[in-house]
Parts: sequence; C-alpha cells; structure tokens
Amino acid sequence: MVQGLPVVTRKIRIKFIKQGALKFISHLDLCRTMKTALIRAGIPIYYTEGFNPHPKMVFALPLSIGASSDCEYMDLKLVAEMSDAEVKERLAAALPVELAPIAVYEPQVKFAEIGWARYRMTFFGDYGVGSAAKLTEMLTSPMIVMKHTKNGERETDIQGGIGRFEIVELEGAAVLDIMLKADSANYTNPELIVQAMKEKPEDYRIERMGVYLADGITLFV
Amino acid sequence: MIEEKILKRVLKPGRYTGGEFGQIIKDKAKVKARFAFCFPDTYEIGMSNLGIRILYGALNAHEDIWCERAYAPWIDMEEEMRKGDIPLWAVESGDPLKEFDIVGFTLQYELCYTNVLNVLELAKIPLLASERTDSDPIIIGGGPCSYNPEPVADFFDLFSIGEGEEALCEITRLYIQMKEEGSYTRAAFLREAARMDGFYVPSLYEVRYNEDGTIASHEPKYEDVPRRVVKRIMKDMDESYFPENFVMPYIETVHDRIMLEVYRGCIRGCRFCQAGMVYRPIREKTPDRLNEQAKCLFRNTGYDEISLSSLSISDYTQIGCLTDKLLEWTDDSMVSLSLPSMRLDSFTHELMEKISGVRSSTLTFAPEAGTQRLRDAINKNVTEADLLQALDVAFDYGKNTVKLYFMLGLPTETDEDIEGIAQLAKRVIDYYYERPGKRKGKAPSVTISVACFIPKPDTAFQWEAQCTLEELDRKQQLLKEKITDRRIRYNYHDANVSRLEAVFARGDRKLSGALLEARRRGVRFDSWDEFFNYDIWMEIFDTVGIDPAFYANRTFGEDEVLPWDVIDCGVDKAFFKRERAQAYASIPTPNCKEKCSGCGANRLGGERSWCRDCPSSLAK
Repeated sequence: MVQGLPVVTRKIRIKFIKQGALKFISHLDLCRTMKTALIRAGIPIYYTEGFNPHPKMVFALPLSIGASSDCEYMDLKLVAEMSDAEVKERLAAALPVELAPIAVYEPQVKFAEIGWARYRMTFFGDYGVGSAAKLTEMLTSPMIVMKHTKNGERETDIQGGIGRFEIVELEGAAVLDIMLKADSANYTNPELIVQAMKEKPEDYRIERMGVYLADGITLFV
Repeated sequence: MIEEKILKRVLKPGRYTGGEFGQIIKDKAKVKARFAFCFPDTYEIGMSNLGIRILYGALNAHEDIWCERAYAPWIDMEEEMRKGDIPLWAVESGDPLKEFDIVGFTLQYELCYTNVLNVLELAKIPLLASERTDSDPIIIGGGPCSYNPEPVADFFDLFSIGEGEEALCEITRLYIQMKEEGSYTRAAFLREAARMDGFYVPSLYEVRYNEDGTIASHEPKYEDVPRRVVKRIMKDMDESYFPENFVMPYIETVHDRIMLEVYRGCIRGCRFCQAGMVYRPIREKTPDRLNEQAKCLFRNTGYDEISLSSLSISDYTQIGCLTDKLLEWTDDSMVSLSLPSMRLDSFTHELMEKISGVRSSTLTFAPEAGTQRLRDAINKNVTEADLLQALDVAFDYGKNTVKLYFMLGLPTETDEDIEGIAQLAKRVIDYYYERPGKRKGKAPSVTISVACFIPKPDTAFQWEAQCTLEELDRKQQLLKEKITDRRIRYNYHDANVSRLEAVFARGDRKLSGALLEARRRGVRFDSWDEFFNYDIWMEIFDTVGIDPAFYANRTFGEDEVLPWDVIDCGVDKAFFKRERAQAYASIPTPNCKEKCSGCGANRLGGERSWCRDCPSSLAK
C-alpha cells in the first residue's frame, strides 16, 4: 500500500495547567503523558517522519519539578479537521484534571517571542513579618548560584534574570511576586532564587502565573 | 497525600503521589472491604507487572470492594518516613496500609522477602502472623514464590496458590460475609479460608523435623484442613477477566506499553524452569478475543506499543492469524508490535517481516547450554542448526547484535560443556562471514550473558545441589579463558546472589528466623546490586544457626519430605522423577504439541489446551 504523506491542515496551541500531584512529574514524563493522552483522545496529530515516528509536540517553557502552573503551552499540528472546541473536549476527557486543557486556539505569536514569566513564590517558616527587607536586599544584589549549563555546573550571577517584584508579608510566610527572564538564552529557573537564599525556608511553593513577551508587559497567548 | 516538602526532597516523587489516569477511586464509606495490593519493590518495577494490573481490575470490578496499590518506598523516602513517623500508605487514597482489611503481596522473586518485612514494618503491621490481632489486616501472599511459601510462612496469614482472578475475589467476599454476620475473628476466618480451594494457611499445619534437619512431617492440625493445597487455574482464558484499561504511570516504568497475555502455560519442558511447570496446563486465548482486547487497551491507554507476552510466544498455535489481525490496524495507528520470548527454532522470515518495526538491532536467544549433549539433558530442544537458521533471518535484516543467554552449573555439566559456550558464541561470528551474498549493517557482535543454575521447586531439578561458590567461580573463570574473540562480550551473574536465591527457593520455615534477623539489621532491596551484601547474610545465617549449604548445596533425597510438598502445582512428583532420570541419560522429552508426557496438569482442566486427554483440547 502506497500512502502519501499526511497533510498538515493547521497548527493549534493548547494552554493547560499543571497542578496537584502532576507538579511532581518531569518534563520528559509530561511529554509521555501528553502523547498517550492525545492518542486516547483520538486527536489527528501529525507524526514526525522517519524510522521512529512520534507525535510532534512543542512545549513553550520548561517547568521545574514541584512548581505548579496555570499557563503552560503546547503546540501541535493536525492532519485532519477537528474544531478547537472538540480538541479541548476530547483532551479534557483523556487527561487528569490536574493537567486540564483550558484553551485551544490557532497560535498568533511564536514561542521564540517569549521574554518573561511571572511567578508567585511563597516561603514558609521564619519568613513572616520583617522578611521583605531581607529578600529585597538579596534580590537587588549579585546572586551567585551554581547553574547547570552545557559545560557542567558553574557559578553564575542570576541578577540579570530578575525583573520587577513585590513582597507581601504574612503570618509565618512571605509571598514574592516576581518576573523572571524566560527567553531561551536567559531562562531563569525560580528554583535558583531558593538556592540563593542563605536562610532556607522550611517549605516553599512556586506557581507560574503568567508568560509575557520581551517588553515584560504584553501577555503571551 | 504526603507533605510536599518531603516530596521535594526525594528522588522521583512521582513514585508516591498517585493520581494517575485510570486509577480507581471509590467512596470508602460505601465499600465493604478495602484491599491493598503491594508489590514489594519500587513503583517502576511494580507498575510493570501485568499480574497486578489484572488482579487490581478483577477486585475493583466488585462494587463493594476497593483495591488500591502500594509499593516499597525507595531508601530516601524510607528515611523520611522513619524520621517523620509516617506509616506506609496506599497510593490511591493515601490511607495507611494498616487501616485496610486485607493486604496482598505478590512474591515474584525470593530476594524480595526482606522488602516484604520492611514494608510490613513501615506500615506498622506486626511482622509475625502469630502476633497480629483481629484489628490488623489479613496478610495474603501469592505469585510464583508461593509455590514454596515456607521460608515466609510465619509472616503471612494465608497464601493464594495459583491464579488469583477468582480466588482473591472469593476470599474477600468471605471476609465481607463474616464481618456482616458478626462471625469474624482472625482465627475463624483463616480456618474457613483453609477449606476453600487454593488457599494455604500455614499456621494450620504442624511441621516436624528429623535430627538431620530434614522434614519428618508437615501435617494439617485439623481434619477439615487439606493435606495438600491444589493450585487454582482460570479454565477458559477467553472468559477470564482481563483489564480494559491500565493505570497510566506518569514516571517511566520498566514495561511502559500494552502487555497482551496471549496464553498461559508452556508446552516446553525445560528441566530447570519453574515457570514452565507451575503455569501448566497450557490455555490459549482465541485471536479474535486477543484482537478485541488489544484494540480496547489501545483506545483506553494511548500506548503505541503492544507486547505479546507469554512464556514462549512463537508456540502460540495461531500466531500468524493473530499478528495478521493486529497488523490490519496497528500500522495505520502507528502502533508497533513486539514479540519477546522468541524461541530459536521458531524465528522465521515471516515473523520477522511482521515485527520489522522493532527498533532495536539486538536479538536475544536462550540456548542455555553450550553443547547438544547438555541441551538434551536440560530438555532445551534447540540445535546449532536452529541457531544458524535464526541467524540467517537476523543477519538478513541487518540485526547483527546478538545476545545469547546461558546457564553455568547445570546438573551433569562438564568442562567440555562450558567450552561449548565459547565455541557457540564464536560460531555466530564465523557464520556471519561464511554466509554468501552481501552483508548488511555493522560488523557482528555477540554478548553472552551467563547465569548460575538455581535449583527450583516444582522442576525436574528440584532435588539437585547448586555448585559451591568455589566451583561456580572456577567455571566462570574457565569460560572467560576460553573466550578469545574480542567481538564476544561476556557477562556473568554474581554467584553470591544466586546462592542466596537458592537458599530461599528451597528453604523451609526455619528461614523465617534469618529473615527476622535480616530485618533487625536493616537488610532490604537484596535484588539491587548496590544493596546486596553477601557477608551480612553469612553473618545472619551464623547468628541464627542456619547452614546455607543445607538448602543450596545439598542434593535432596527423592524420598525426602520437601518443604513445598504441601503445595500441589498440578504436575506430579512422579513426572519430575522421570524427567530427572531422562536428564541423566541426556534424553530429551517431546513437547506437549508432539506428545503428551503425562505430567498430570491436565487433571486441572482448561479450554483450548494442548493436553491430549483433556476433553476440549485442540489435539483431540
């Protein structure tokens, strides 16, 4: 049987969440989970050519293990017509609620245009009232951390990756609302902030709140 | 769920969070019995076990029974649990195991016994069955090791012998019934369970020993307790419960694909192989039913690989028909087929064509012994000609990396047989260059992986002694010297591990003392190289006064009462004795397709079986 190559009809973008128990799965595990879910959902996805065809999925940003998010993005190509609404409905039924799709649409902006991501970081323990000044000082001084790079572990100053921030002191916790660089050359992992803290919090949460373009103002969609 | 800060500190937190797609959640207020199914090793290994997937589904098919899963925590999580006084929990609900009605353990290999004890301790359930009260869960064991449950008999309330699809549901129903009637006490329940088919309650038997340490008698304490427990089988595999979906792990597991069980049992009678005996009689599913099950699992899981699993897949009478039916839809759906457990003598161009989607360039075969004489003695009915024919197929497809499995220390083995392993490996390389025509792919390479023979219960070699460590070492070194070609890679198993396995494989109840001492010393994960410590084990045996050679290196008497005589696996002892005599004469026994050898398993019945005397058999 001779088959022509499947024709790509259009590109779609899926915006989804990553919460609860699903916070603890790695990027590789997320890819595998999405792949089986797309097949279960019967979505006509485009497969790569070659000896080892696999569904073509592109994710916008990495998310560290343990962090939750309301704004993850994945791009796909379809090889047959299916409406955005139907893709969303089918995928929602095939995914755990903690990985639910919240929007499906045709992308207008490329992932390469992403410049910043906004996070809410909550520190528990001795990070209550009075901690804002200390945190502010840390975030405005050089921040040397060990960073994984292609050339192994090396000391890096992540100060350049930090944008505007705001700190709210609560009873027994501090909430840091912060913009971090997220373009592919300067992606700043929020875990590095925790790593830079001299007094480690007893526990902490990281939530990705939004993704922005290079101007740091326009929301990425 | 366990605290987030702990999850952040441990490796692979996805092992502990649950919440997988396909997991079964029920309202605990509405169910009548809660069953925790524990695989006493890591999540990745446990989630790869098809048996648990089947039993999980079979139990949960009952509305009033909720079956959950549990695994052995990795050492980092164990440390957190001990530090934080957190009792072991079941994955679905997060509730402590000790709150469950029944906790089942699958015993897949002997070296998991220390993990069973560790899991019980972490769950805060008394280790010894005799110390449990009416408020503790019932601890039930099953799986391949339950064909000799004696080394762990003191830790289990009962064992489910044989296939559990119906048996586990029946025992849970009995539990529910006695609870509802108000007649439940641990003792009353166990007494009643012992009267049901396929349940062994070790506390209801009295074991007496001779002065030399062998067993004098193994008798039931009461008249209504059976002298021998006959294993249960599912008679019709087409009708037997098979899951329609799987719990989908988030983290990568060992077998992350659809496993389609094609048939149970084995027609081959390899004389060292326990699985080939205890799963008899052979019972096939029909291609239509299998195709249905495969389609259904594909739709519900989204896996893009189907592994046809059985002890020797090419022995399936309708393998051609099945693969044709599957290929009608799998190719278009981007699903690949894999056929593990291929026999040398069945590896054909036709089959290769169907699985050519297989990405690996490695082909694995198990000649098990280096000479025809020894292959005949162990009844591995393959010849060098079979190997060359299989190589023809492999090389034609450019699959030039060949892995061969062998065993050292087999009964009747001589140094000539060991040299034969090196020669056979060399033959593969030479054959590649001898073949006429164009060569495809890279230069050939051969890996030989050599295990140590372990005498196992319910085999023709169950009475045989394992070689001493010194002898195994000599044999391993001899083989090393005989391998001169650099294209042959030689791997061999740690003989110390094989020896411990032999001790527990043929052990009796006296070994429970050693296991308790091992727990006291913190031993666990024996099947993991990084934790296995032979010296500690020798100290343990010394402390409790057990001679490991008594179990591993002694030839058991054919008239001796064996620890596992209380379990009837369906195959008769008389058959094993005949097979042993044939081995010493290096005479092979025909497989069940060719001729019935009267092993006795056909008395258990079974549909679509090869057994000649079975009324519904194919060979009729």
